[in-house]
Amino acid sequence: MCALRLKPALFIAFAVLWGAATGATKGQPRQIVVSAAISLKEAFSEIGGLYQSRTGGEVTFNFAASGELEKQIEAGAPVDVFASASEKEMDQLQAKRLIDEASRANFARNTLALVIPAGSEVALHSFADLAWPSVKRIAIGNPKTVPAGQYARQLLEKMQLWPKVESRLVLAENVRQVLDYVVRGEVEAGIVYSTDVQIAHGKATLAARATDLDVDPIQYPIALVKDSVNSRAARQFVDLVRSPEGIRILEKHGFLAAK
Amino acid sequence: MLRVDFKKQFKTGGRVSFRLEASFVVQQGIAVLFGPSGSGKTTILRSIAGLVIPDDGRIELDNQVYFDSAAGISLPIQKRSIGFVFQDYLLFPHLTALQNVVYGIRSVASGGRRDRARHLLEILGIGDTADRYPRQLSGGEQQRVALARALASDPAILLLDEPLSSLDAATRLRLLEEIVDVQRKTKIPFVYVTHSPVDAVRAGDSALILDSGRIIQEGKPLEVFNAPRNLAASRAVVNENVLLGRIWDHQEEEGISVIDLGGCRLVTPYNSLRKNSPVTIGIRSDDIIISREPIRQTSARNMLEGTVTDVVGDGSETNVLTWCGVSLKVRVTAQAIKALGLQPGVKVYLLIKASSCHVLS
Amino acid sequence: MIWPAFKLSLLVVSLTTVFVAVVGTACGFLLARRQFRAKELCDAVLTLPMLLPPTVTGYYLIVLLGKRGLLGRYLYQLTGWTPAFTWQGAVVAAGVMSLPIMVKSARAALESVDARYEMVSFSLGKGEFETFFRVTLPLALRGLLAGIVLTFARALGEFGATLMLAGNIPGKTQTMPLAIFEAFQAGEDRQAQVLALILTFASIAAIYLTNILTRSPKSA
Repeated sequence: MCALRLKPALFIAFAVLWGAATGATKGQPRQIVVSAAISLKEAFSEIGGLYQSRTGGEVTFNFAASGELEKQIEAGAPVDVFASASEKEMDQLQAKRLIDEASRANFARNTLALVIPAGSEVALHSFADLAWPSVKRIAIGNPKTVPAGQYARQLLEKMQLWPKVESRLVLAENVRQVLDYVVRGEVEAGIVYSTDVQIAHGKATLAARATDLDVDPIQYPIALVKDSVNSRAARQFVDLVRSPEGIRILEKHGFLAAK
Repeated sequence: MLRVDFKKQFKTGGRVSFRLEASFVVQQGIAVLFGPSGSGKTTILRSIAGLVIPDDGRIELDNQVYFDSAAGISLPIQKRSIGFVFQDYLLFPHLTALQNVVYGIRSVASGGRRDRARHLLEILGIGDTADRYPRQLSGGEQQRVALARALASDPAILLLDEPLSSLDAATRLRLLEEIVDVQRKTKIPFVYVTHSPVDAVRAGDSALILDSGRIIQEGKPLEVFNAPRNLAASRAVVNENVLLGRIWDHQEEEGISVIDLGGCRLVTPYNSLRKNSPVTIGIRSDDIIISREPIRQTSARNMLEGTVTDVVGDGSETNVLTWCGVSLKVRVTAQAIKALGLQPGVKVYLLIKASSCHVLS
Repeated sequence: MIWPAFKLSLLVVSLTTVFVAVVGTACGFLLARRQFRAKELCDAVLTLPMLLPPTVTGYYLIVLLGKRGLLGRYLYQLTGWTPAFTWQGAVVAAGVMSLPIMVKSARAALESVDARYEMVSFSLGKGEFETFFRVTLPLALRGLLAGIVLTFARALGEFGATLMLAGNIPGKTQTMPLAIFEAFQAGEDRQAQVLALILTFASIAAIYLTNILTRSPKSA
C-alpha cells in the first residue's frame, strides 16, 4: 500500500528540489556574481559586506587568477562584474565584445613585492639578490595566465635577471599560491603584490618593493559583463567600488589609487 | 627406513576436535595407510612431508631427522627428500608434461634435465605426451606425469595420497600395477594412502589401519583385512574378506570359474578373464556359514575345511577368524558361537556360495 | 610546449609504471597469501588514494615531502633535495595515485591462483622466491598485465596530485595533462587540441594492447 503512494511522493519531492535549484540560479533581483582577481580577495569581501548592508542584495564572489576568470566568462559563465589585475584580460574580453565598454574603468593600482619565508637564512634585500646561487627556487605566477606572473617576468627581464633565474622558477596558478609556496618554505623567494604581504600574517617577510621604473604600472580595471542579468545591482556594486568608501577600503588593504 | 612417532591435536573454536597419534616404521616396499575419511591418514602423510607440523614427536628418514620436537628441529618441506603425488595430480597448467617433470629435477646440468625427464616419461609409458599440456591429457596420463614429476626430484621416499581415486576401474588397475613396478625398480619406500581395500591388498607390502586418529592394526594386508584383531579394526576394514588369486579354470557351460587362492580354491560365477591372470575376490563376512560337520548336498559350491584361529568382538558384533589355507573372517552371532562351541583350535567347515564371491578387480 | 610535455610524460609514466608494477605486485602478493592482523586495514590504506580527491592526496604529499614536510625536512637536511617541483615528484604523485589500482588487480590475480600449486613446488624442493617466479607469477600473468595497463593509463592522466606536489613548470614537471590545462587557460587552443589527441591515441593504444595481451590462450 505504501508503494503506491511512494511514486507520486518521489515525483513531488524531485519537482520541488528541481524548482529550488533552478530558482536559485535564476537569481533574485539583487543577487550578483563578481569574478575578481585573487589579490582583491580581502578588499572586495569587505566591500561586498558593505554592499549587502547598504542594498540588501547578495554578492557571490569568484576569486581566481585573472586569466582563468577571463576564460570562464568567454565560456559563458553567468558573471555580472569582472575585476582583473591587469588590462590584458579586460582588453581581450572587450575585443570579443563580452563587456560593457562604457562601464570599464581603472579603480586601483598595485606594486610588486619580493617576499621571502620568515626566518629564512637566505636574506634577500633586493630583486638583484635573486641572482645569488643560494636562491634555489623562485616562485612567480604563470606568466601565461597570471597577471602577477606577467608583471614579474617583465620586471625580471627589465632588470636583466631573467636569463639567470629562468631555470630556477616555480610557476604557480595564481598569486596566492606563490605566497603559499613562500610561507611553506618550498621556495627561497617569491614575487607577489605588495597587497599580498600582509595576508601572510608574518610568515613571509617583505624583502623589496618594485618601483615604477622596474615595471609598467599595475592597473586594475573593473567592468560590467554584457548580458548580466542584474545590471542594475551590478552597476550599484561597481559604483560602490569606485566610491570614496570603496577606495578607502582598498587603500586600507594596501592598494594605491588609480591614476 | 622411515621412522614415525608423533602426536598432533587439532582445535576448532578453542576445543580439541581431533587427536592424531602415529607411531610406525616403514622399512621397504609399499606401506598402505588405510582407513575411512577423516581418520587422519592424509594428515600423517602430510606430516612426513612437512606440510603439517606435529605438536610433539620425531620423524626421521634414513637417519636424517626431519622433525624432532625435543631438539627443536623442523626441516622445511623443501629440504626433505620426499616426493609427493597429490590426489588431484596438480600438474602445473602452464607447463607441458615434459616441463612439469623437468621442474622436479633438482641436480644435473640443464641439458641433461630434459633427457632425464623424457626417460622418466618413457618408463611410465607416456613418452608421447611430452609436449602436451595437462588439460590435453587423460586422467591416467596426468597421474603418470604426476608420478614422474615426483620421482624426478630423486626422493628417498614417495608419498602418495589416494592417487587413483578419480580414475575408472580399468585404468586404476593398470596404474596400480605400474606403481608397484616403479617401486620395485626404484627400491625406495612408498607410503600409500587409500580407502580402497583392493588397492591395499593389491599393492601393499604392509598395511596400517587407522581409525579416528589412531593406528589400530598393523601387518600384512591380507591378514589385516581378513583377520582383524579387534572390533575397531574390523569395523575399519569393513565386512569384506579381500583375497588375491589367479584364474585356474573356466567351465562356461556350467556357469562357473575356479580361482586359485594359493592355499585353497574357490568356485565363483563364470567370468571371462584369461586363465592365470591375477584377480581380486571379495567375500562378505556375513556371506559365509560355519559348520562343525561337513555338509555335502547344498547349493553352496564351496565347502572349505579350516580351523578357528580367533574369536573377536563383543555381543553385538562378533567375527570368527578362521584359517583354511587363507585367512577368512566370518560374522557370526554370539548365540551361534556358544551353540557350536566355536573357539580357537576347533575344526570347522566354511560354506560359501559361488555367487557370494565377487570379483573386485 | 607539446614536445617537452610529451617527453616528460613519457619519462614520468614509464618510470611510474615500472615502480608501481613491482611494488603493487609485491603488496598484492602479501595481501593474497599472507595472514596478519592489520591486513584489511593495510588494504584500506593502500586503496585510499583511489577514493580521496586527487588534490587531497596531493596536499598530503606536499605536507609529507615538501621542504619543511614531515619527512621532507630530513631528506632536505641529508641531501639538500626534495621531490617538490621536480619530475621525480611527478613520478611520486603518479605512483601514489595509480598504486591502488595495481594492488587491487594484483591481489585478485594472485588470489585466483590455486595456492596448492605453490605447495607442489615446495614439495619439489623449490624455495619461495623460485616458486613465485616460476609458478605463481606465470599463472597470474594475465591479471597482472591488465593491472599494469590500468596503471599506465592512470599515470598518463594524472593531474591533481601532480599539480600540487610537482607544480606546473614547463619542461620540468609539466606533463601532458598539465600542459593541456595551461594551453586552455592561456587561450592556446591549437596546442590543447594536439595534446588532447596525443593522449587519446595513447589511451586507445593502451586498451588495444591490454586486449591482445589478455586474450585467452588457444583452447585445447
